[in-house]
Amino acid sequence: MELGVGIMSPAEVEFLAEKELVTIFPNFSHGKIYLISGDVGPFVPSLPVQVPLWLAVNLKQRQKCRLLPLDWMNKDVLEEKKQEEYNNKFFTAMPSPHYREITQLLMSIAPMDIPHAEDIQTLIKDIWDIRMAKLRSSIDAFIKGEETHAKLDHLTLMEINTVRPLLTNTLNKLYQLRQVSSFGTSESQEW
Amino acid sequence: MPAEKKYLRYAHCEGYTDLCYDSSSNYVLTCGGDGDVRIWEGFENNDPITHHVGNCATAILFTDKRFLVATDNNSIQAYTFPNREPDGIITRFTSPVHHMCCSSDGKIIVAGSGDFTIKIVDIAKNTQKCLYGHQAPILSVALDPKCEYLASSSCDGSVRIWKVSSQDCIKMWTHVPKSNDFCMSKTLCRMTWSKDGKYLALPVEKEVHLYKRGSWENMQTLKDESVTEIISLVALSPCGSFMAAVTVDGRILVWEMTSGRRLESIKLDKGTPFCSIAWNPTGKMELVFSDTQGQLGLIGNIGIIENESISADSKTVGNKVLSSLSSDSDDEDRSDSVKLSNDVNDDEIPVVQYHSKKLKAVDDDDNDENVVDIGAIKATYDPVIFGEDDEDSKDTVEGTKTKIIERIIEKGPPPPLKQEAFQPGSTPVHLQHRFMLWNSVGIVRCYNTEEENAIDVEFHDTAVHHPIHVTNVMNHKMAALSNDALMLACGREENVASKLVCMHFGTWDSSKDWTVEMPEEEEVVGVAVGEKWTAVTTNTRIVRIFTIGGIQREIFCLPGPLVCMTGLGVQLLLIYHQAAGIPGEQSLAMMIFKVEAKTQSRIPIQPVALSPKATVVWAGFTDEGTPCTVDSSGVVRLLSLQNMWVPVANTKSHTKGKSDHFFVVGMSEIQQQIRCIPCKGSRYPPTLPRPAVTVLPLHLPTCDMSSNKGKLEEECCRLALLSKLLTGLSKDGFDVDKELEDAGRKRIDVLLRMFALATRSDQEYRAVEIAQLMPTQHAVKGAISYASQSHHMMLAQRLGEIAQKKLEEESLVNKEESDSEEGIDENSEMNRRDGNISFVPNDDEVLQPKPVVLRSHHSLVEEAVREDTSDDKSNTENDMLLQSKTQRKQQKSSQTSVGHKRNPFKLVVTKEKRGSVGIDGILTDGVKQLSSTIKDKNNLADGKKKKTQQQLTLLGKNKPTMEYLMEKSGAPPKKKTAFQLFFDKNKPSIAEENPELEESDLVKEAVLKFKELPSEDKEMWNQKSSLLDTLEQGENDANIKKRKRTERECDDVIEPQQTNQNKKPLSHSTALKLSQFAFDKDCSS
Repeated sequence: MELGVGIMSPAEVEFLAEKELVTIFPNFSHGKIYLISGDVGPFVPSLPVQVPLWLAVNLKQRQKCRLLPLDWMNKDVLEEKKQEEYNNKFFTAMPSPHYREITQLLMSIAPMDIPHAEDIQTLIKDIWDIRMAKLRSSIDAFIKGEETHAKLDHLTLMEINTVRPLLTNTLNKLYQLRQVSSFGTSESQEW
Repeated sequence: MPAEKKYLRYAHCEGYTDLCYDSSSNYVLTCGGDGDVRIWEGFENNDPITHHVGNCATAILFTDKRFLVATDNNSIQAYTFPNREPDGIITRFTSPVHHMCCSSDGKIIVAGSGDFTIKIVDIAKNTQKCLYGHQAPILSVALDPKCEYLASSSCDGSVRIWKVSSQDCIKMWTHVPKSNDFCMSKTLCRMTWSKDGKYLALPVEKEVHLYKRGSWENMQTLKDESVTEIISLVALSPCGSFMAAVTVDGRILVWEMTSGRRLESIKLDKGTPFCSIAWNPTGKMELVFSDTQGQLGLIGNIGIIENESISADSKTVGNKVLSSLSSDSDDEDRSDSVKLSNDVNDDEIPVVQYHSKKLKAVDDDDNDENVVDIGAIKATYDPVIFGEDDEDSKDTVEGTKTKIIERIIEKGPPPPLKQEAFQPGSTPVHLQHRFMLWNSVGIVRCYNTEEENAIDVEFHDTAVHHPIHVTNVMNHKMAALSNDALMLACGREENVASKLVCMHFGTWDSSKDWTVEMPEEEEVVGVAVGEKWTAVTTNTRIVRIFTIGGIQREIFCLPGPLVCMTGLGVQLLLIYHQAAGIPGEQSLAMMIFKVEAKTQSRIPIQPVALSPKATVVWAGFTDEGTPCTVDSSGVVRLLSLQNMWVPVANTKSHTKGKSDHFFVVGMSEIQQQIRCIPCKGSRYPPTLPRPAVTVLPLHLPTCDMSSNKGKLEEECCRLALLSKLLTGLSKDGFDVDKELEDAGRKRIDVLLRMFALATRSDQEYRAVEIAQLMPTQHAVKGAISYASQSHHMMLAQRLGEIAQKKLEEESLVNKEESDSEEGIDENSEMNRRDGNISFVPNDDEVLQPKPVVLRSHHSLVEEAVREDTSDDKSNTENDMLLQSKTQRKQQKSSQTSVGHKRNPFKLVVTKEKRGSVGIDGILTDGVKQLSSTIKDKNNLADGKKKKTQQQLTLLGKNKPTMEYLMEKSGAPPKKKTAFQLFFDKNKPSIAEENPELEESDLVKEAVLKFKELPSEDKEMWNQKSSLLDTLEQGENDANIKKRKRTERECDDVIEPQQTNQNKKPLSHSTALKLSQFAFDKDCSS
């Protein structure tokens, strides 16, 4: 299998994350916008409205709105989450399936709208690191144990995509090597 | 009692602690079980120097520029002070040292240890002596000031006097309770020698015995009734005039030595045993002590007040003390506290005042708990600030408090509540960062800190204006903001008049600002701005109206003190106190002044409705211009068109905590929303972090909200209110047709649901009442349809009457409205009369809902209540019979409606939606039943026809209904049964044959003919019909619509052939799908 075929890039995952809804406070008025995915608006200055993240990002970049941080984008919640993730042997459910991407996007465009933005970013990174460490150790156990099947719950898309290119290729190669070696041994036996 | 007791503060961990003063008495040194020595610079020092000496420090002693600490390694270590560097080990034991003392020159150190030995170390000579004799761990040691004798106490229960030189025990008492170890001992038995060494003070049970030097006789006993436990420690003040003793339950006693008078007896709250106690060596009447909890405490001002009243010679002693104290020039506290305590009697009066203030504040607080009252805060803290350490003053305060309460009761009822003037949408003036205004246009923030005094204006819609930042030079307190201008107003200060400043950013000329000074003695208390005008109210109750450019337009007087004012468009709303309310309540009135009203009408004055004991916290207009208030209990009220206050929501019901509130900033009736800021634990939002607006729904407080009925009723009332408002608005020329229609539709929907609910629970009278509430006759028709299907015939009959009445009302209204409108066709006119005559049915059968029209209405009801529709299958064939006739009628009447301005799209939509169910029903069993039962039903059909006719024609006058009918009946022809095909084909011929027949009769005739046909012929028609069905399956909706329209436009005479070709029936499955779609659609909408 060639790299890049059938593999999602982080940008693509981010694209998917941009479909998540966030609440913004527009500073302009506009009627409803009719989109394929659903109607958005109407926009009334200073009144909260739910829009897809990509629209929020676009509006924010044009200084047309203020973002309301998501419920879980809160120091206390994340600290708790981090502790839970840390204490738990398995993966825990994340507040959002795109937590990393959303945080990344919001922090880059609207750090001013989010209280304790830096702390939150650090916390999210910590959670990510804990989860990645778990993921690596479970993959390690998986390969070393020469298992054929494993199940991991609550992995987010981005997390899966960080290991997919390498893992699938590696497993392929391992498989090939094993085949060759078993073939070799059987051959040598024959000979 | 003036002794001041400072709170205990944490010094060490729990366990035995020891303390001493340094020689300058600036520092207190403590040690404890945590192995730390802490050096406190005065008692208030919050950050003492900590020096770690070991795992546990058991005793500390200060001698000449160094301090000695006994630690758990059984040695006494010396450290320099203040550098805290180790300075040698004095001596070692085989067990921890429990007590140390030293000679006045610091040369001789005595220590008693847990290994039963006492060591006397002469530092100068570097010699040491050991005293053996005690049979248990040593509790304490005390060296005679002349270094001749040594007293020691031990857990073996003995107190011994040793001669230092010979190390002999020369005297022994057994006054101490026995114990097996130091830590188990009840008493510490700390002794003290008098300054001159004349006597030894020894705690013996509950007394202190003074033993004379040499003879070792008890020369004096100090005792007091308040002592209930044995005395553990004694300490003599540095001047030698006062003896302090501490009992094991934490009572401190102080005796005046010369007179033997007990000056103090202070019991500490907790009663934990003390470990050590020390007098301030400077002569300050202070005791520091530490207890077994590791706490450090201080008692000051000991024995001062009594000075004046003590007998003459003791007075000299007191004076001596005082003079020695006052010689301490840098000790200002001293003289202060003396003064303070001398003034105790005068002090009582201020305290009383504070409390009366406090009580008042408490009263106020009951009413408006969250209004921040500086007076209240002051009152709460004043006693703390001024009399905090005076324990006894608390008692006196308690006393005066009760006294005051009594006095207030005598005074009679509390004064009525009178709230101060405020700006709606602002937070209190005293806040450093506050919102001067938050309204639907923008936010005005004010920062009033030491660094800056500025005003920030931010617009919700950045298209209005860019943000403004100005320095608040004039100290503005009030603001009002519109899309054109920002008004700022400041209060009157000394020599500076109150001013109104306008920043008219909407102007097109270059001078944007103008300022007006209020006349002397007048101060702005409220400011409002509207469209092209602005208004201020002053404390003299004068309302001044300016144009936005600054021209003074009008002046009038407000009948009472202002509460708040706000403006929108041409309306100025003023709320004021109109009279004194009943106790605890306010009596407010509202005035709405139309600033640019061309017609001079009387200004309506409207009392303001409030919840019990509530104040107004917000007042303003909704987006639609309806006056609205919010009170402190969170109730939102609208002034209805009949000038009634309608409670439309209670923001409190949405809060999570009791002290949470919603800060209302605006409201919209059309959108049915209240915009507000949730405030956690307060009434006002903070400026940072920037609060977010949330939207609350309107919700009338109807009863029985847990049931479906209650919910529907609430919605119905709310929609009725909205409809009324919208009708009013549209009369005023606003374009709200869409909203009005929306509200009307929703309301009918709710009413039908309510109707269905009542019918199902067999509450027919209620059902009739609901039908009477229905705004239009065709909604009633839906109800009739539902009622008859659910076999409520009586009900259906009564509803019929209501429908009739409604129709008449409607046509009357319509007639009035459109007298000039032509084209009311004679036929329908006639039919109507006809209908009137024939309306009263004789027969239940006749009541069966027939008309296709009604059936489709029925679809509405079906949405609400999923009812089995199979009941009316038997009726379908009648529908069939009537279709063609109906169709024609409608086509005729359609002419009248063509001229009527209606949105053609609307019409189409409803057709699709409502017609489908009818189609479905007809499809289910049309043909078969028709052919087989037609004969039996003939008479019945006749009767039905009459009714249908009547109903159809009834509708003839009503245009919207007309169209509606058309849409309805438009659907069925799409599907042709065999008979219909036959009829269509043969109609002209039948008509020719019987020219005298009316259309309805034609059908009858045709039925007869169809029946007479040979079975082969019938079969042929049936085949044709089904063929057409299949052909038509894919027919596009749009095409149908189009066709319908052309059809409508065409002339009276309709060629049967054409109809035959064009109106093709839908297949069963298509129709099913269609009905499904319609159903879903309704569900989702």
